[in-house]
Amino acid sequence: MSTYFLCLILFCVGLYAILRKRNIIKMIIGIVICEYAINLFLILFGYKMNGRSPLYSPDQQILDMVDPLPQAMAMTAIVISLATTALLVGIAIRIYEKYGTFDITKINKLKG
Amino acid sequence: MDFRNMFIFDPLSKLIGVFIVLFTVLISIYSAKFIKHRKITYYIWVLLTALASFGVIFSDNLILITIFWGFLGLSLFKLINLYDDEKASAIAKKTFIIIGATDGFLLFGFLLYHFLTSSMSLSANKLIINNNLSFISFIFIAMACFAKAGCMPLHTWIPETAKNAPLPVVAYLPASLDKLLGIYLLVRIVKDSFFLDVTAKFTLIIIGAITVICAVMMALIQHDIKKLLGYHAISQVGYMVLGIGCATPLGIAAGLFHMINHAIYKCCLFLDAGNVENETGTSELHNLGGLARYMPITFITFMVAAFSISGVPPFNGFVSKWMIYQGLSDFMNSLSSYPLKIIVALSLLSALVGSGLTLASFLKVISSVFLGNARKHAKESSFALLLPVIILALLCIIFGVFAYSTILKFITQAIGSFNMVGLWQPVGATALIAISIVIGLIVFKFSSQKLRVSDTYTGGEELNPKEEAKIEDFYATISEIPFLKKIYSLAEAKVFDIYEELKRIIFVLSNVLKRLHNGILPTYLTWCLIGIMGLFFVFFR
Repeated sequence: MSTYFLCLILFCVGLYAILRKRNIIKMIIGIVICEYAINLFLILFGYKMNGRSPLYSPDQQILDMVDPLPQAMAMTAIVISLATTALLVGIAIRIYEKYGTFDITKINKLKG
Repeated sequence: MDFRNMFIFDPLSKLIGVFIVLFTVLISIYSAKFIKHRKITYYIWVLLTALASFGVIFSDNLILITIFWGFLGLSLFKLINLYDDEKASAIAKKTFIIIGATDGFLLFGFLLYHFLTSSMSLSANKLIINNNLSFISFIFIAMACFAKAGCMPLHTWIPETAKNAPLPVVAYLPASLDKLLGIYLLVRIVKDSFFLDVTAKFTLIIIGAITVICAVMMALIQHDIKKLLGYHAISQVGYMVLGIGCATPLGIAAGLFHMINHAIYKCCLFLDAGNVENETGTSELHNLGGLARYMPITFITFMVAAFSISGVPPFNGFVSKWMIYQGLSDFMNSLSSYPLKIIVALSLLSALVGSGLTLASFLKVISSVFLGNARKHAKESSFALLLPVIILALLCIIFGVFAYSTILKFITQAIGSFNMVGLWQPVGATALIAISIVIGLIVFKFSSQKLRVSDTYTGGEELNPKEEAKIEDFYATISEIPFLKKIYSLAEAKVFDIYEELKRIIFVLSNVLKRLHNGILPTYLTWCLIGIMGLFFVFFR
């Protein structure tokens, strides 16, 4: 149970960075931390104490395997998060080129 | 759905309908000359107003009444804001907010009424006021009537509208049509929808008495003729509410009769003020004087209407005020406990004092506008501007002298039969007044002493011997009395204006809310997140 709470705390750290930081780069880092927290949560959810790796072979029981589904999902999520992070950083670079700052309170001419 | 039950054509609705037609026709004639720009827009809204008014008075269904009532608020806004100038649009906004807010109260009152009686009809069954819900329902519906008719504390839009809006609009809506409709709905709910208990009756009576006395005190110190008439328009509503608050047939009939009379003479007064302003270009009492010799017909009609509003016999205002006094004293005799009797007696006293103060204030208006030295040269208005006021002044005399044989018959049909407590024979009294005037003229003709020299009448003010007596400053001393001075200065600062008070509170609140809107996206995200967490807490606990 305590591991789930630790995941929640990690997620909240990321959320704090997204909501309260003025710097775009810090916000992106906050998003990445959130993703890590979620991935960690999924992996921990599927973990089984003293389990073995989920490789199937005819002579072995299925009972003491670790659940493979969260691991597969976490793999997919990591790849997707890599792509989104790249996109976010790209946008941040474009914003810096245009406004000369990463501070979102000074970026206020987004219309038009 | 049965459409026959949604409308009502009883003598009360028909009586009000006749007067709506009368005022619409007269104002249309007057406006043909008076309104010079945007005539088409103006007439479209006047006709739509008349149609919506018919909708209100002839419908019996709660939803229909609300819809037409709401539309009247919109047409009032569009008519006040006819020329889009700055002052008029500000006051039009204020009017729309006051009327619109009370429309909301009306809707809520109707909702409660429907909940308690489980019928959509306003006059099908009477609701006995015996618990808080029914009392709230009654008061909320009455509040809409008060705002429409301009009773305190929801009166504040009337004086400013009277000053800034186009004059035919003022004569049409706040002076006549809104009074007809507001008091009509009040009469309808008192007569057909509710059995009033003591609390409801005394709420109405106290509101009426306060309205009479406070509005007339404000009217005394005004310098602008239109604003002064606007305050009188508020003060007279107090009499109607006083009469209706008795909830006896005599009281309701008196209130209804006074409302019709008020619409007639106040419309006449406003149209006369319009004639004066049209010819001289000003409505300030300081700049007017001696117009009687240039505008005799305007002078005579104004005087008839002013005597009517002040309750001078034999004009119509006297008859209806007399009926209201009778209704109040009758109601007082029917009560058993002494404190309640004293309240009714004080209301009666305030009505009497208010009537006297009205006369005093019109003394000031008549003598400063039409008598004294001429400060401006003018000529009599054209026929189209005079015809409506002549008709209205004639109606003032007819409804006064022949009250029993004309208008009171219809009112008896509408309300039910009632017995007069006091004695008043209008025809005989008028004959006596006429005979005494004739005898006076004969004595004047044949007596040796033709003229009597007396001091200049100063309305009780001290006369500065070096200066000319300033008629427009009559009663200015009232505002110097220590206690009243404070009240007047507070009233000038709009402390008693419920709209201004609410505006102040809302600005304080919105300043707090404005600080939350800093235009930074993560702040809004934070609020969204807190909201979602709250929702999760409530629903998935």
